[in-house]
Amino acid sequence: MSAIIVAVALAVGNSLALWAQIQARPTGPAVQVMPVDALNSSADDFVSGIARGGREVYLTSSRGGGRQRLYIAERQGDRWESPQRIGGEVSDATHVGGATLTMDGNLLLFAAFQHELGGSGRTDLYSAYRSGDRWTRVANLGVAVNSADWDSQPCIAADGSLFIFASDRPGGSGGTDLWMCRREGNRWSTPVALRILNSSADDMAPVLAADGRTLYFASNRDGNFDIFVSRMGPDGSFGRPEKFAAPVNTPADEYFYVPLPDQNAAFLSRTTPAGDLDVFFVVPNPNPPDPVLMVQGTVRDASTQAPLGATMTITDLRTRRKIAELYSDEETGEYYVALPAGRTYSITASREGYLFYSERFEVGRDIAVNPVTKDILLTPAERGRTRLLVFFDFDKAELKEESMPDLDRLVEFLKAYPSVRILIEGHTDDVGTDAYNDRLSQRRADAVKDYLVKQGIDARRIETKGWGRRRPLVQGTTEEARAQNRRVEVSVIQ
Amino acid sequence: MALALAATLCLLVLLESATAVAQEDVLRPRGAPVVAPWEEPTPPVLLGIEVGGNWNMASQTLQYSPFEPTNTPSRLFRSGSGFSPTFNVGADVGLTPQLGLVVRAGYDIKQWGNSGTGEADCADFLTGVVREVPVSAEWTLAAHYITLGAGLRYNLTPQLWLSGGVTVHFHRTNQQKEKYSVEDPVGGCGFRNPGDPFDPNPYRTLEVTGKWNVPPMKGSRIGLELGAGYRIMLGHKLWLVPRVQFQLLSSFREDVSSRDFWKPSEGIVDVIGRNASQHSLQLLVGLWFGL
Repeated sequence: MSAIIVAVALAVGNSLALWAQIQARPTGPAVQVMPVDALNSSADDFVSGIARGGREVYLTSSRGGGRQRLYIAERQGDRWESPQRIGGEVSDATHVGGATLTMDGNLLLFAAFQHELGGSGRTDLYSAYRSGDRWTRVANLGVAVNSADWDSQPCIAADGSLFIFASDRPGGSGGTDLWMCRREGNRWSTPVALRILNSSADDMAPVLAADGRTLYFASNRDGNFDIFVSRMGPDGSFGRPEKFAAPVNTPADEYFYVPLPDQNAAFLSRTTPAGDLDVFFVVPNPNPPDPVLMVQGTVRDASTQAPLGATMTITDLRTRRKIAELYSDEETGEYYVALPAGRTYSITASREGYLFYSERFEVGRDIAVNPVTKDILLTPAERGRTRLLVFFDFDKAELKEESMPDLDRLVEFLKAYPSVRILIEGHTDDVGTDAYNDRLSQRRADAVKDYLVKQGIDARRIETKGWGRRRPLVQGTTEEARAQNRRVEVSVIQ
Repeated sequence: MALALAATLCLLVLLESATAVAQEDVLRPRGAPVVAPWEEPTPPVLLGIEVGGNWNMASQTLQYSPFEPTNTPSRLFRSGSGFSPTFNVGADVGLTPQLGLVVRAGYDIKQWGNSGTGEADCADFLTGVVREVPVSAEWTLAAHYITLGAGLRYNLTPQLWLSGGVTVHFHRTNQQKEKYSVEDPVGGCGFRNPGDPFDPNPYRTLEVTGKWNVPPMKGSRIGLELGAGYRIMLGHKLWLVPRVQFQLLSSFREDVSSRDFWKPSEGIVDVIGRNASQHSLQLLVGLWFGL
């Protein structure tokens, strides 16, 4: 009987909320908030992290015994498969949960209370790395990050460059507060309180969207827990938080607003009339993050097609800022990365024993296909061949500044393999005469050689050849075809 | 008794501390909200059933008139102790966030007893020679009551609370058992049957059960109850509540009985029981349901 009353009340409540939404916003689709039955149980359930382009969600649930445990659920088409518990060393604790992952899904941060590995006090933050289907190298983040107080609910940026978490340690604004650590090489910086976001009440459940700048969090500064959003500016500081309207926020408690990178939708966790926490789906997302393009693919050996674990670097070619460093899976070679729209990037993959691979990648403002697949082939060092990302002004042979990262990678490769000799080949498009293009392509190949020699590479190890327009990569006279044909390639000749 | 009470309270405090630590999790730094009944917006009514045990302690002053019999086992009636069951149904009505009114009705059995050995005079009626013979005796008394109680509950924490109140024990019946024995190889001495004053035989072993009142501890009583309890949430509107309480009960009224304990007879002796009291330490476990 009570279940019927609750169901009727929910239906009436949702209807009223939807009606209010329709009245307040006469244009645009109404925001709908629906429970995700496949993820929910009669106990607490909340989604705190996603990975692999939103294909995987990480659920914390106290089903089956009251202890919080981590679960993973995979998306198959439009539905979610039944959550599977994550066992092993990650779960050796009284409570474990609040998982967050880098977009490639290879680095996991989570919180645990009374973990067998020990900690700095009460609930602490831990990390683990994916190896195939297992989580390995489980470790406490240490006293540089953890305090003797409650440290929990981490959220890591898609590229792993920073993470934000909740803590009730001294030095905040009262209650639980949001704190941020940035990656400094192989360690994390000392946590800094995000004062513009924190209040004297409890601020928690941070979720950083895949764009790396839109932060969602929960706060009970107005009574019950509601969802707020704040955006990071170019200087790296967050703006004043704004509170979501209904139907996202209700008189119930809302936590963990997790936007999906490839859909205009989000997960939300909310207390139900029965008193437990359930996962809901919000569509469309009324405060979406900046659009991102999900790029996924596989790194393989060009000869054997065997999957390879490789270090991958994503650089914004306009700002020359390295925006992500990630690793393709050692066993499957898979990688995932989220790229904000409206920019041009270089994607570079490298691995010991192989010649690096670089490619220019443009993400337009309008993302029509999401995600896109880009597979990468690495050639073995002894017979490698790749395209160099070098840039020249029109009709010039002087290297532009943005060419330096790839040239420096080539220098490192040649120093790592001192017996290797290389051939640098310049190519032009089909504009101009053969004689002119031959000279221009030769001068450009020579410019690359000159840079390498200045960096200490023996000139006798480098040969150059200008092919002009005689060896186009693709046929055609479109600007896109011509851009692909204007290139410098390097190949190992010994 | 005080040691047992202190140990129980320490256990409750330790349980409280351990549970407070265990409540922290990755979502809530101060633990999951415990929806205790007194925290509900509207003070609810809880109904509960309890089972448990009494540890009973009894004592009285015995006077004998005109003389104290030599058959020393009778002195065992001066004090006794024992364990017995109790059963309650109750209701808990929240008055304020911390304060509640608790009423209970139950069936309570107080049982206590004693045993011991001694020596008795055994006089040869022909020679007048008096021998000392070893005797032993044991007895138990179970007093059955219907109880009614009312009291106040005050919460120290959402789980741990103290309580105090009054109880009325309506006496239903006494069941008692007495067992006597004497080692007299010569013969001629023994206990008389207290249940049959016309039975002239001396008994070397005598076991008597019945509902009559020897020693004279009978009648209804009132008392004070002081205790502590701890609520463990088992589910939605369901709690497991272990609790401990001490019952300080009123004394029995003075009672006089006349007995001729021994053969050869030493004469009828009036046994006067004064200041007879009995108190109990109760340990109970209850299931409470929220309405």
